[in-house]
Amino acid sequence: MAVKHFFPKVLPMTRETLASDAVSQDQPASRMVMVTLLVALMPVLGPHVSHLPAWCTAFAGIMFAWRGWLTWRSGFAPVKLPSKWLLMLLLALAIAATLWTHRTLFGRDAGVTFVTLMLSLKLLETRSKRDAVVAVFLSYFLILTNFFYSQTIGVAALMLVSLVLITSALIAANRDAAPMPALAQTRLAGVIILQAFPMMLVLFVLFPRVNGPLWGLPADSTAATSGLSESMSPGQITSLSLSDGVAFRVKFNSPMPKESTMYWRGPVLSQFDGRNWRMQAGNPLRPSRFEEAGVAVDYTVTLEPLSKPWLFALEMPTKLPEYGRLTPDLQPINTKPTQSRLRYDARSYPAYRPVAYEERIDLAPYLVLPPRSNLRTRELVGTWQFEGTKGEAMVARALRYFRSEEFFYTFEPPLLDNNPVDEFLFITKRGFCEHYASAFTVMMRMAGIPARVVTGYQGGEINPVDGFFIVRQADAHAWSEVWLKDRGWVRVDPTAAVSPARIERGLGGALPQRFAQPLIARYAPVWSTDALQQFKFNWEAVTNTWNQWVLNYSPDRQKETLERLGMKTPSWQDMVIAMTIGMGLVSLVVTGWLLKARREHDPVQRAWERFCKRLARAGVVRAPAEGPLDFARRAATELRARQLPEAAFAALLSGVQAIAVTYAALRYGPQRDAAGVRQFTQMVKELHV
Amino acid sequence: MTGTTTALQPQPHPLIARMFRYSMIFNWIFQPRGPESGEVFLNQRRVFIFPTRYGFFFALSLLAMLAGSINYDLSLGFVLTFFLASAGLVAMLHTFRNQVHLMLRPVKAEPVFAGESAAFELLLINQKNFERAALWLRCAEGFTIVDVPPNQHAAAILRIPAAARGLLRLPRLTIETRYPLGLLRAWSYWQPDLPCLVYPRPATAGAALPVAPEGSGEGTPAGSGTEDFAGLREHTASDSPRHIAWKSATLALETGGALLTKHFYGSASSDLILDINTLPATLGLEEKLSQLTRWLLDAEAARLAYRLRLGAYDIGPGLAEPHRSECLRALALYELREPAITAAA
Repeated sequence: MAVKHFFPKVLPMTRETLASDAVSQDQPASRMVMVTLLVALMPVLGPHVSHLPAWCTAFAGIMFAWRGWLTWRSGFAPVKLPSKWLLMLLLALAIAATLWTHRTLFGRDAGVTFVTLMLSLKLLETRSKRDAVVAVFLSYFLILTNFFYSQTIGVAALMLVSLVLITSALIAANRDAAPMPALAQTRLAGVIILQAFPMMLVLFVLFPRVNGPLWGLPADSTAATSGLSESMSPGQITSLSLSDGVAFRVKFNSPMPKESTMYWRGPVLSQFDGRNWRMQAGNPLRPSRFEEAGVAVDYTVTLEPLSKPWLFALEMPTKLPEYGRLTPDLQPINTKPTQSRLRYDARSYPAYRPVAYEERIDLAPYLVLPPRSNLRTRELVGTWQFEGTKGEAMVARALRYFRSEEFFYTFEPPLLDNNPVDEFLFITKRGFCEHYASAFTVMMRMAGIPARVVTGYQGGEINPVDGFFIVRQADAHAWSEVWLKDRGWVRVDPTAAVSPARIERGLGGALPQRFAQPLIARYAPVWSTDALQQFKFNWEAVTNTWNQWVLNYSPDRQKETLERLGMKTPSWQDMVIAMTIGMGLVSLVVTGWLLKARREHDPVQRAWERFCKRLARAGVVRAPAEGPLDFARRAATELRARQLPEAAFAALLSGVQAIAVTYAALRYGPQRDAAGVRQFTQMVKELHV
Repeated sequence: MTGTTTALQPQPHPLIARMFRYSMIFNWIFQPRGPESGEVFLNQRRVFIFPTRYGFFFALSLLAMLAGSINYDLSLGFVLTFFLASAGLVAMLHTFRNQVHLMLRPVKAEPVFAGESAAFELLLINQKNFERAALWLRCAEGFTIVDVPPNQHAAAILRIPAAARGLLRLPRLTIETRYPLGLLRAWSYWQPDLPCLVYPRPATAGAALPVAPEGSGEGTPAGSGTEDFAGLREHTASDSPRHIAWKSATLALETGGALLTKHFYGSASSDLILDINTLPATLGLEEKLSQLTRWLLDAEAARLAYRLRLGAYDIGPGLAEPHRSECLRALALYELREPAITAAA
C-alpha cells in the first residue's frame, strides 16, 4: 500500500478536469521514470549511431551520461538540473551544428539529427511528469525514424523491445503514488503491447492503404543502392565486392527456364569513351525489335528498393507492369520512380527471335569508338578483317580468341591504364564479366559490327524452402549484343567463352589468399556444409515472407489479400467496415480477458459470505452497507428475541461475536497471517445457527 | 388551430431550452447521487472515461506518424503506428479496469478545531487480484493518491481545511485514475456521508479561567493532581450515560449483565463553570464560543473539573473524556441548524 498526500492550501482550479490534468502533469517525475527512460532510449538511439553525424552521437552521449550521472548522484532526492540558460545555449549550438551539417532542419537526416538533439536536451530538463511524457512521445517518434534506414526483421525485433521499454517508461511516469519494481513495470508494458498485437494486426491488414507519397519525397529519402551502376568502367575497379544482398526475387508461375538461359536484362550501355561505358543519351531513331518465340515464361518479380528507375526482366519481356516500359535499347525501366520495394508480374520469351529492320543510320551510334585508342586491338581486328572474316565469323573468331589465349576469370583483376582494352587483351588477361563484355564489344565495333553492352543479372538460385528464385547482387553480369545483318541484335556472352575450367581455377587458385571468398560466388558456390546452406535457405525464406507480406503490403497487395480472404472487389468503405468489426471483436476478447469476473478467491471473504448467508437463513439479513461489528451487535439483539435455549444462545452469541471481530481484523487490519485465516474459516465452519 | 395555440404560448429561449436539454443529458449520464452512507461499489455505470490532453496529443502524433508512413512508404511505420493506436485502446480498458468494481468505504473523521484540517479517512477496497495503482481522490481542497494492492485495501486520508465550527461534510469527491499510460482518465463521483465535527477555534490564550460566582471562589484542584478516575460501579438510571464504561458495555449488552459506570473523585465538588452568559455582551457568538473553548482546553490542561453552561445545556461538572468531547460537541453545534447526529466515528 502506498499513499502519497499533497495538499496545497488553495488549488488553482477553474475547470475541474483540465485543472486536474494539470495537477497530474505537475507531479514530479520519479527517479524510476528517468532510469527507465535512459534504458529504453538505448535500443531506440543505438541503430541511429551509424547514420548520425559523429558530433551528434557524441553530443547525445554526453547528455545521456550527464543526466545519468545527475540521477545517480542525487539518489532519491530531487535532481539538480542545469540552468535554463545553459540549456538554451546548448540548444542554439545544436541547431547551429545541425544547420552546418545538413544545411537544413527538415528532411530525413536533418530531422533525425534534430529530434535526437532535442530529446537528449529534454532529458536534462525533465523534472515533472509532463516533461517525461514529452520525452516518451519523442522517443516513440524516434523509433519510427529508424525505418527510414532499415526495415529488416532485426530492426522490427528491436522496435518491439524499444516499444515495450518506452511504454514501461510511460507507465513509470504515471505511477503517481509509488514507483513500481522495474520488472513488474516492464511486464505490464509487455502485456499491453501483447494485447495490442491482435488489434494492430487487424489495422495493418484492413486499414485502407493509399499509394504514397502524400507530399514530395526529399532527395535523401532513400538509402537503397543497387549492385549495378549507371556506367561501367572495366579496369577501374580492382576488386569486385560480391555482395550477398538480394537484388530481386522471382516466383515463376510457369515452368522455370534453364538457369543458363536466364539473362535478367538491365541497363543497356552503348556509349564508350575509351574507359567508361554509359547509357545512351537521347533516343536512337528506331527501337530494337524482336519476335516472340519458344515458350512464354510468366513470373512475378519482387525487386528490392533501387535508387534508379530500373526494372529487371528476363530477356525478352513482352509484358511489364503498367508503370514499366522498354526503352528503344530494350531496357525495362520504371516510368514512375519509387524507392520502395516493387512487385510486378512479367512475361518473357527466353528463346525470342530478334528482328533486323534497323537502317544504317540507326546503327551508327553503336559503332562509335574514341579515335586513336587501343591500337593493338585495332591491329588484331584489322588482321582478322584482312583475312576476310566478318559478320558471324568475326564473332566466333573473337570468342575463339578468348578461349585459346590464357585468359582467366578473376574477381580481383589488375588495374588497367589508358588503353584498357589493349592492356586486358594482351597483357593482364585477367578480369571478370565487365572486362570480357567491354573488350568484346570494342572488338566488334572495330570490325564494323554494331555492338553494345548489356548489364543485368545472370542466373540465380532457387530457395527450396519457399520456392522463390533469388537473384543476388553477386549475380550481376555484363554481356554483349551485336547486330548481325538478317538477324538483328544477337546476344553474345564472351565471359561464357572463357573455359569453365579456368574459371574454377581462377577462383580457387588465381585469387590471392587475402581475398575473402564471397559466400556466394556465381561460378563457384563455396558452401562449407549443407546445414549452413539449409539455414541460409530457411532464413532467406523467412526474410522473403517478411518482405512479401509486411514490407510489401501495398494497396494492390492489400486488395489481392482481401479478395483471397473472400471480399469481392473491396472498396475502402468495405475495409473500414471490416476493420471496425474486426477491432470490435478483438476489443471484446481483450475486454473479456481483462475484466472477466475475477471475483476474489479470498478465503476470508468467502467464509464471511457463507456466514452471512447462514445468518440470513436464520432471519438476520446483513444490510448492504452494514459493517461486521454493527451486524454482529444487531444479530445479537435479534437472536436474543428468539428465546433460544440458554446454552445454545450463549454459544451462538460468542461465535457470532468472535467471527465478526476476527473478520474485521482480517479484513481491515494491517496484517493477516495464514494461521489467522485458517482459524477464521474454522470458526465459520463450526458455527451452527 | 392547435398550431396557433402553441405559438401563443410563452416559449423558453432556444438557448435555455438547449441548456436544459444538455443538463438533462448530463444528469442522465452522471446521475448525481448526493451524500451516500455506507460502502459504495463502483459499478460500470459509475465509472466514466475520457481522453486526457495527452490522449489527444498522442492521437495527433499518431496521425503524423501515419502520414509519414504513407509518404515514405514505411511498412514498419504502419506497424508501429497501429501498435501504438492499439496500445492506446488497450490502455483504455486497463484504465477503466483500474477503477471499476472498486469498493469505497467511509471510515472516520476525527473532530478538529476550526482552523485546522479535517482528516477524512476513506477506505479503498480492492476485491480483485490485480493492483489498482495511482488512484486519485480529489476535491477542490486537495487530493491524495493511493495504490491498492491486489485483494487488499488502502486508506486514503483527505485533509480539508475546517474553516468554521459545526459539521463539516465532505464535498463531492472525484475518484480518478490515468494509470497505466496517462492517455485516458477514468473517474467517478462519490460523496460519502461522513461529517466531521469541527469545534470552535480556541481563542488566543490570555484570559484567566473564570471564577465561579456561586462557588467557593476558587476552582478546586481535582484529586490533588492525581488521576481522578476512581473505579467502576454499577450503573443506575441517574448516572450520566457518558460515564458508562463502554469498553465493557458490549459484553454487558450481550450477556445481559449490568452496565458499569466510571466513578470520579472530586468532580462533583468542582465549581469552575464555563457559562456563555457570563461573557461580555460585546463579544459575538462565535467569539464567545471561542473563548469558552479556550477555557475548556485550559481547564483540561490544568486538570480542573469544569462545568459547561450553554443555553439549555448544562453539562458536568467533569474532566477528561468523554466529558471533554461532550462539551466541545455542544460548543461546536450550539445554535446551528444542523440536525443532531450520532458521533462521527
